[in-house]
Amino acid sequence: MRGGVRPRRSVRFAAVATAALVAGALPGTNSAASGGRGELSLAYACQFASGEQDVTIAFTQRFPQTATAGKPIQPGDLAMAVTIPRAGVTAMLPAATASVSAESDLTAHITQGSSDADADWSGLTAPETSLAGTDDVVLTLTGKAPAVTVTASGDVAFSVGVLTLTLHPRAAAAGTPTTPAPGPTTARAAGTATAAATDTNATTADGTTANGTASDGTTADGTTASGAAAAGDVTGTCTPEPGQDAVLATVHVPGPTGTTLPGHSAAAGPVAGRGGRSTGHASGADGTASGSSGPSAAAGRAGGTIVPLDQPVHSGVSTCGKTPIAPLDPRRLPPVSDTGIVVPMPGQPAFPPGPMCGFAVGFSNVNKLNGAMIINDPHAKPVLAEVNSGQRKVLDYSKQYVEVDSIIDLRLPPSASTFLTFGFMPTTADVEFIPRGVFTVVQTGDDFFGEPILTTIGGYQDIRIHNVRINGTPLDVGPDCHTAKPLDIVLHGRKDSGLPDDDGKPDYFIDAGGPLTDEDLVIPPFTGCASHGENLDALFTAALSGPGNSLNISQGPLCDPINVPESCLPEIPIPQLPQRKKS
Amino acid sequence: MRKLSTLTRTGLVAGSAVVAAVAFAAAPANAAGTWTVSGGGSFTGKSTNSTLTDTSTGTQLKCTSSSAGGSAANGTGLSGTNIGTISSVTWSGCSGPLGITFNVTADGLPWHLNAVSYSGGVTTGTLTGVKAHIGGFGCTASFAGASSTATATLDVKYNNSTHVLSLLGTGNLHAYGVSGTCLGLINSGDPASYKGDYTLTPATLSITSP
Repeated sequence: MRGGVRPRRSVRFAAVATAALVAGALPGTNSAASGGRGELSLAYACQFASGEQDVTIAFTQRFPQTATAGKPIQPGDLAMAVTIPRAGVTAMLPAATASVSAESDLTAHITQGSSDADADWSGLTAPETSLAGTDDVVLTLTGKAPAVTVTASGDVAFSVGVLTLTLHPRAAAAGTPTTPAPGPTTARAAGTATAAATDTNATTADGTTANGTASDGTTADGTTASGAAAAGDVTGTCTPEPGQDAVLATVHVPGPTGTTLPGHSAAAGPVAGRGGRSTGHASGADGTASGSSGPSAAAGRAGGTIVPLDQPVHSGVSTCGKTPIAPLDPRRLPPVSDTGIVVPMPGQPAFPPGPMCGFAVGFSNVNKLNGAMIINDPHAKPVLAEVNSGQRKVLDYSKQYVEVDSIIDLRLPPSASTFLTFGFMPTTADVEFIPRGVFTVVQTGDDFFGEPILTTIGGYQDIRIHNVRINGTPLDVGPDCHTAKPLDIVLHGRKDSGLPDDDGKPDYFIDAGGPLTDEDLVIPPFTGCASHGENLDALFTAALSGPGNSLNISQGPLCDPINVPESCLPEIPIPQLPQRKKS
Repeated sequence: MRKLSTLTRTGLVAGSAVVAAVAFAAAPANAAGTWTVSGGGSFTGKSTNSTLTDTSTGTQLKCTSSSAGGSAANGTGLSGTNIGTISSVTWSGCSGPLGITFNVTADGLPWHLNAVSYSGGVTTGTLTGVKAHIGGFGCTASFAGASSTATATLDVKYNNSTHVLSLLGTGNLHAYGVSGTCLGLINSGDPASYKGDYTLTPATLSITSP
């Protein structure tokens, strides 16, 4: 399978911009369930063309108990049982209606601390449901909810909100034609609405209306003897009645453990020394609790810590930038066998540049902080990776070996990190990536020979930390708080679908893109971090440096302006953030 | 019929144009006015083993299927020259090294089938007028004959009992105008070979001589 995982439906995701850092534990709202099985029953008021109709909706949805920052939180399938009073059904739907199917789009709300985002859970459907009998009608709509990721620890609450409901009435099968007489087009449902006027036809004992018309004013074609759907779908918007708790489930995202630093308690250190700052806001003193202080929104980042995994972002870019011209890093190149031929051969001129470009976005997971940082945020002017493809090849067909080497220039924008926590104090910082040269790309493999295509992208980048705020208060770390030596980043991608050793994971391929991972990233110690004479190197090194970090990147399809100009049009796509769950 | 000598794979001839002299010194007795075509008319040929090889580097491009449309008019006492016409050729599912997928397009159609010699139900001849180009991610190349502006001549065989038209993989095909990541895998001027067996339908075409 080429490229990354695609959700079953695209989701419109409207993020609500968040305010500044809020310290303090999350309010202890109900929670119907803390993860596990979310069950909720709410009263809704629906507005149909015919008027208001009150319904009851029972929501059932499984959620994971816990989740990890930077990894997808995937709600289970949603089941929504909408109970419509019989009188209302009769009033809304044409006389000949024997069964009804339905669709719904639900707006869900996701909150974490002060971060808040809406999600569109659309495409819920209910199958044909018979309207026989006199009981209230229950339509059960089901569907899938897209995943979401958070970049910080803290409880994530999923709530239900407004939904649209469309009913498709269906006449009885052939042989039972009915002819609805034109009549008053308004029909008010009796139910719990306060509407006074009711159509007397709505209350016949057997629940059928002799002369009702569809409540949206169109005349139902009751004579569709073939059983085709009666004309006149009925659509309404339903809002939860006020005063109810609409939280369906809460998923715990545990905070980092054991991050108390030697010599630095929550109150001590240069921060407290700045005077007057209350430490009373620090909360969640037990590091394993999920109720850590509300993580702040990264400045300017709508949705705060909540990252929609399905919102498409338009780049508006259809041309590449500057093609990098630089040598391949010989340390990154595999050894050449004695039968391998390297081109260009010695004495031959270099190949002309092979310009290409594309977007790569993703997460870096920092082991010590159990948190994730967005790399090249799709929502914050992501930067194109510029490629110069095919500088060098190694051909050894006798050994079924072909290798193509390229370079990539990737100058990432700063990432806002919102999870740094010292002594359990919410800390934000900007993390700047400083490339040390270009990335060298080595690709090997040939489908003909039944070999997976392997891509290895290696390069060095320093990170510099600045704009640090602890609990909202700036901590001056100086202009040069950076890694003492660069990170050695090695990303791997693999394309093997259909091959005997297909790993079953989405494929990566240079032109179509896909997942690239570095499972084994070491963050070196920090140097140059100083505040008013105090050396903070040890602070950052203890908090961040070490092995066990990872990078999870999605590369989008590349634009090849020379050979495939249409690959750049209408625009170079920005991929969705990685969704695939990692072990 | 003399076969074109192919370059060995261990040598890499980069960038130099190799002009292959193709001498189809067909037995004159079989060349003109002795051919009979029956069961002719329009036909479609399908191949599932089409392979284009850069014979200098060994790089191969394979297509899962190719389809050709053509015709050969019935008659007797026909010249071998232009005994049939190929009016369309398409390829699908083509990929090369690193699994890069390619589009292949035939140029300069119609191409012409020429019968040169006949023996035991099998006609040997040529396909002339051949030009094509390939485009894939990171790679573009054209294919033509002895020079980039000359069309190529490919050796073919047709078997009356199997109704298979075979591109033998010999001829004077060369790569030109190579750009992109392909460079080094395919180079401008490299000789190339195209092989494929096309099964014709209807399975009626019969070519004999005399």
